[in-house]
Parts: sequence; C-alpha cells; structure tokens
Amino acid sequence: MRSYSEANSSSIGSVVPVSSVLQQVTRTPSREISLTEVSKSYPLKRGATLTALQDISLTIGNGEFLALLGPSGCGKSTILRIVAGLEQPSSGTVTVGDSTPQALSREHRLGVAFQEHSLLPWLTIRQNIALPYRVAGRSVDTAHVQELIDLVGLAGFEDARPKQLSGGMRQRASIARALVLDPEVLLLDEPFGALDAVTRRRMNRELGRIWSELRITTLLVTHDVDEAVLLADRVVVMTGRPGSIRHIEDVDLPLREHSELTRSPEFHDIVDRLTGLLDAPKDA
Amino acid sequence: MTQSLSVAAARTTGGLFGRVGGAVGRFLLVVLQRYWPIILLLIAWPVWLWANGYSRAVAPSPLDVATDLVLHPDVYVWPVLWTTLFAVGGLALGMLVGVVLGVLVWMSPLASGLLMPSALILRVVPVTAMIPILARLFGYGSGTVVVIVVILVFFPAFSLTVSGMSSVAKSSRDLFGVLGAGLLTRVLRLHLPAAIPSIMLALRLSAPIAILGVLLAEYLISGVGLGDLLRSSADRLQFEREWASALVATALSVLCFGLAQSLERRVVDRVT
Amino acid sequence: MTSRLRPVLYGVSGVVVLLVLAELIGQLGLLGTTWPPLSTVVAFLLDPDNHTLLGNALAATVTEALIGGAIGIAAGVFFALLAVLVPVLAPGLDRFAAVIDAVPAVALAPFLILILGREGTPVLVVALSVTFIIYISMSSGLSVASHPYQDLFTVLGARRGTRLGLVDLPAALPKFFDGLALAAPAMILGATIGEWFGAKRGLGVLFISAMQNYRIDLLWAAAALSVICSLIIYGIAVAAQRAVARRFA
Repeated sequence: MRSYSEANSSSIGSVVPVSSVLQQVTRTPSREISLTEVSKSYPLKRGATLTALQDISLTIGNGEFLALLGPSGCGKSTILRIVAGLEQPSSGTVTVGDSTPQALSREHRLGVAFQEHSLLPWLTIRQNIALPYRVAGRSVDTAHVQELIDLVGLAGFEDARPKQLSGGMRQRASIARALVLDPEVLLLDEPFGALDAVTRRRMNRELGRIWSELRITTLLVTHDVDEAVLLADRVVVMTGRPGSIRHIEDVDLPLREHSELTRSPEFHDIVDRLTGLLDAPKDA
Repeated sequence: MTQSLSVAAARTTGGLFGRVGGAVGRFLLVVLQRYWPIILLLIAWPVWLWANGYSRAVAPSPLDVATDLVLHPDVYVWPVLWTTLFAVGGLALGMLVGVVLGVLVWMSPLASGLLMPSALILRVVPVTAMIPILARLFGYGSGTVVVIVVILVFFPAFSLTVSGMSSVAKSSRDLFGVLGAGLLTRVLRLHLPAAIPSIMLALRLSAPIAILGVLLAEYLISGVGLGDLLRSSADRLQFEREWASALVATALSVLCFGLAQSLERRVVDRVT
Repeated sequence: MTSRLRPVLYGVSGVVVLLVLAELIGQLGLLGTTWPPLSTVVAFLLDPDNHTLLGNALAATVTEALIGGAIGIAAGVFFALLAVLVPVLAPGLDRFAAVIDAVPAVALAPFLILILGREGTPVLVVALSVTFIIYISMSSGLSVASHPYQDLFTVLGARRGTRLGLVDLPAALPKFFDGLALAAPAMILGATIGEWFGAKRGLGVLFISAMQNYRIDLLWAAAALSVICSLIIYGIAVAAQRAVARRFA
C-alpha cells in the first residue's frame, strides 16, 4: 500500500486527523496469514463433488495489503471465508500468526466487511459501529467509536439509521465497524461491490487513506482490477473451476497522489496486464 | 377603485368557496373510494329487509339497532369491557408464551425438529372442538376463556417467531460468526430483533382471533361478556339487541385489528 | 441423504411422542375422565355402531366446508381480479377484506341465519373466511408478478387482459396455493362455528351435544375427525402448492 500525500485528504470532505486512532492501533501487533495447500470441495448429488479451491498456498505478510482478484465463482470469496473461520478447508492448513482463524474469531480479533453492509437495521450508526464491543462482552469505548466515525467521515450521522443513509455511507459504517476492535486481521469481501463506479472510486481513495494510517494485515476480495491495483501491495489473480492461483503481481508503484497515480502509465500497465490475465483462457 | 376592490374580494371569496368545496369533494371521494363496500352494505341492509317484507320482530333495521345502542348503553358497557379484558390479557399471555417457547425451540434443532410438526397438527384443531374439551378440563368459568385465547394466540406467535429467527440474512450471520459471538449473543442481538417483524405480524393476525376466541368461549361456556350477550339476547328473541351486540363485537374486533396493525407498522418501521 | 431424512425422522418422532403422551395422560387418568386414552378414542371411531352418527356428522361438515370453500375461492379470485382490473375499487376492497377478517364469525351469525337459514349458515361462514384468505393471497400474488416481465409485456404492447392471463395469473398461482393451504383449517373451523347456530347435523353439533351429555368419547372422536379432515384438506393444498411451485418457480 502506498501512502498518500497530505494533499489528497483535501478531496475528502469530512476527514479528521486520526493520530489518536493510530496510537490506539499500534498497541496491537498484526499477524501473518498463511495458507498451505488449501483445497475445498463440496459434495453434490449422486456422489459427485465440486472442487472450489485446489492447492492454494499463499502468505500474507504482517501489515501487508493483499488483493484476491478474479471472476465471480473462482473461489476467491471461499478463501476469505476460510481465513475468517466461517468454513473449514477440506485439506491443507490455515494459520494466522501462531493461531487458527477459529481461535482468532473466538477472541474477537478479526475485522470483516461484506458486500452487503449487514448493518443491523434496528440500531443507529453509532450502535452498529459499537456492536463488536457488545458481541465481545466488553464495555463500549465511546471515544474510540467516535474517532472511527470521524475517521470514515460519518460525523453528524451517528444517530441515523442505516436505511436513511446512501450505499456509500453504509459501507463507511461497515468498515468502521470492522475496525472498531483494532483487529489484527482485516477481511474485506467486495466491500464496494454494490456501489456505483464514482462512489466506488471515492471509497477506494478513503480506504487507502484509512489503511495507510492503520496498516493492518488485510485481505481484499474484488473483481475490480483498478481497485485491486490501487489499494494492494500484492494482487493475486485467480482462475476458476477449480479455483487456483494464476499469477501474483507485486504492485510497486512510486508513491504519489491518488488522482495522479490512476493517470500514470505504470498504473495502466499493471491494470492492462492483469485484465488480460482475467480475460485469457487458462492454458494460453 | 372600490369597484375593482370588491371584484377582487368577490374573486377571493369565490376562490375560497371553490377551494373548500374542492377539499370536501376530495374528502368524500376518498371516503367513497376506501369504504364503498361498507356504504353499499349499509344501504343494502334496509333495502333488502323491505324487499323481503321482513317485520321488525324478525329483522331489525339499522335504526332499531342504533336506537337500542343509544338508549341502553349500560347493557353493552360491561360485556365490552369483559370481552376486551379477556382478549387483551389472553393475547398478551399467549404472545409471551409463544415467543419464549419459539426462542427456546429455535436454539435447539432437535427440539424444533420434534415440535414443529406436532405444533402444525395442534394448530388445525378447530377451536370449536377445543372449547368443549377445555371447558370440561378447566371448568365453565372465566379461567378457561383465558386458556382458550392463550392456546389460540400461541401457535401463530410460536411458529412465526421460529421462522422469523431463521430468516436472518447470511451476511449478518457471517458477521456474527467472524465476531466470535456466542449462541446467547446471537439470539439476543441478532435473531430475536430480526424476528420482530414476524412477531408483530403474529400479533396482528392474532388480535381478531383473540376476540373471536373470547366470543366463542363466552357464547358457549361463561356467563359474561359480549358472547354471552349475543346468546342470551338471541334466546330471549331480542333481535335488535342481538344484532347490536354483533355490531359492537365487530367494531371491537376491527378496532383491535386496527390498533395491532398500526402498532405493527410503527414497530416494523423502527426495526427495518 | 441422511441430512434430508433427519427432519422427517424428527417430525415423525415428535408426533409419536405427542400421541404417546396423550395416551399416557389418559391411561394414568392425570386429567380425570375428560382426557380419555387415545386408544379408547380410536376404538370408538372404529366401532361400527358409531359409524352412522359420526358418518352423518362428518358428511354434513365436509359438504359445507367444500361448498363454502368453492364459493369462497371463486369469490376471492373474483374480487382480487376486480381489484386489479378496476384499480379504483381496490382501496375499498382491501379495507373491506380487513374488516371481514376482523369480524368474528359468531357476530355474523344473526345476519347469516336471516339470509340463508340455519342450514345454510355454515356454508356462508366458510365462504366468508375463505374469500378473505384467497383475496389477500391472490392480491399479493398479482402484485408481486415480477416487474421485469410486466415491463417486457408493456413494451411489447400487450393489452391489460393479455398481460393478466399470460403473466400475472401464472405468477400469482403459487401465492394462490399458499392461500389455499392457509384456508384448509379455516374451512372446517368455519363449518363447525356455523353449525353452532342451530344446524341439525355436523361435527360442530356433535361437539356441543357431546359436551352437554357428558359423552367424552364422542367428543374426542368428533374432535379427532375434524383434525383429520383439516389435515387431509391441508395436505392436498400443500401437495398442489408444491407441484405448482416446481412448475412455476
């Protein structure tokens, strides 16, 4: 992840300096995620099986932002669900630091945001963002909740209900909720998939800014090439049937301002190459 | 000058009358559009009596019924209060039992697997068959009336609570999974709030059923309430009183339904 | 396979537990003479001496339920279509349906007896409650008739009637059968309520006369028959619903 110059924050309306959030977060170490020869298959009718993932080996370094890029149905969300502890691999191992995803989720150390914002409609934005505290049985750190509300630019909307907000604002709230317990691992499953292109780019920019402040080990699942290249340190391109890794791209672009970056030839180089990989048949 | 002023004034008043007339017209139109079947019935009632040549002794006109209501309000007040009390009490108790048992059963796949089909069978037992058996079991008093209403209200509340709790979106379930939520946390913070629209639907469906249950039970076994008034006035051939108590019972039931419906709308708007 | 069999297994065991419990309560006399062992009730049902009495009552109630049900279905569909084809009538019909639902059947009895007499009242009580259920489910079925198709047919210039026949009605069929499954218990209930107002025959009449004459076995046998009837009608409706869901889903 490239850090952005201070200048880019002027493009974001209600951003507040977040040094206090930074202090809070630095107290928790990030962890390395490691998948070793992970396969996942589902039983079908009449004894047949569907292999969703085959021999996935992948390491996401401490404090690294990794994007899984691929067409729908290539198993990239399955990887995320396995790392989240929502599903068990059929074979292979997954470790986060020296622990398992299940243990991590039991200790409330995972942050997650899905394509569907999954904000609870009966809670206000503030209560939704504070929800992980309640689930973990801890007392709510109201100051920290407010910092995150400011960080994602939702100040003034604390007491609104999800249905009163736009899709982009709901996703901001959902990301704030993912961050509120200072997770060691952040999992993002197409978090902006339901947004229009313009809002999506703006949210990419903001996520980049927020992430560069926090630097949590992050796994992003997306089918948007621009989004992956903009945000990630490494982009893993996947192919489907069965889901496997096709290519790993180290994104090593010079640090610069976001809008400049998207216009730079280097950026378009990578985007074009990865788009080509997504389009081309597997054996090409 | 004065002329033009008065012309202007006339125009204003004319416009005002026009507007008022328009508003009244629109209001009448809305009433007609929303309530035309009921208006039609109220017209058809006396016309039909007249066409068939029924005497007042057999079939009272709307006027006879209204007269009895206005002249003898004391006859109706206590039965209405009794019926309302039993219906509301039974409704509240039945909803409580249904929701609590629904939550407990939802938490155990074994319990829900065992109990749901049986609940379906018990649900189709007609209340008309239930009342005589329960009356023999619990006596011919007011306690049995409450038991009947509780049983009637229980089934919709129970099954809708279970299905409402199961209708949580997958992403929300995943979220609580990743957050490492325990069973109790999931029930209290996710599944039960998510079931509130279903529970409110059960309340709306049950409100008229509760009134019907009380009326039937009163009609057959207990000596109080509107159901008893209906029966005793029919036995004494006081037809205008029988019809009036039927109308009052209908109004009470529609009122309960309306209240439950507006409560449902408000609550559902709050939680979705 | 096991995971698909498990709910059936649980359900069957649940029903068996329920029946055994009912039998035990009766055998041990936990609730006094009012709660006979189920085996006694079954024996009463199987005893040929009782078949005329039970058969007559059953035939009367089922006939009322089916005639009333047929009238109710026809009326419910008619009014739902009326609301769609003449939209100006819809708000009034919706409100009236809510009122009809809220009206306790007991309260309607004086009016119904006057219109159809004591023998016809059960049919009308059934017809009214079925009309309401079918009207509500048909209306919701016709309104969900998926909008992409509706738009397609509008763009193709289909007339209102054509669209109703080709798109809306088939799309509303599943909801119609949902309504039918809901209406099944209401049919037997409505018939027995109607019978309380002076009918000569029927299960509802048996309930009351058995209660007043302390014929506990007869009371339970009649109740059991009403439950079995409701379940059979319900089962037919659910089977039709499943078949339609497979065809139109």
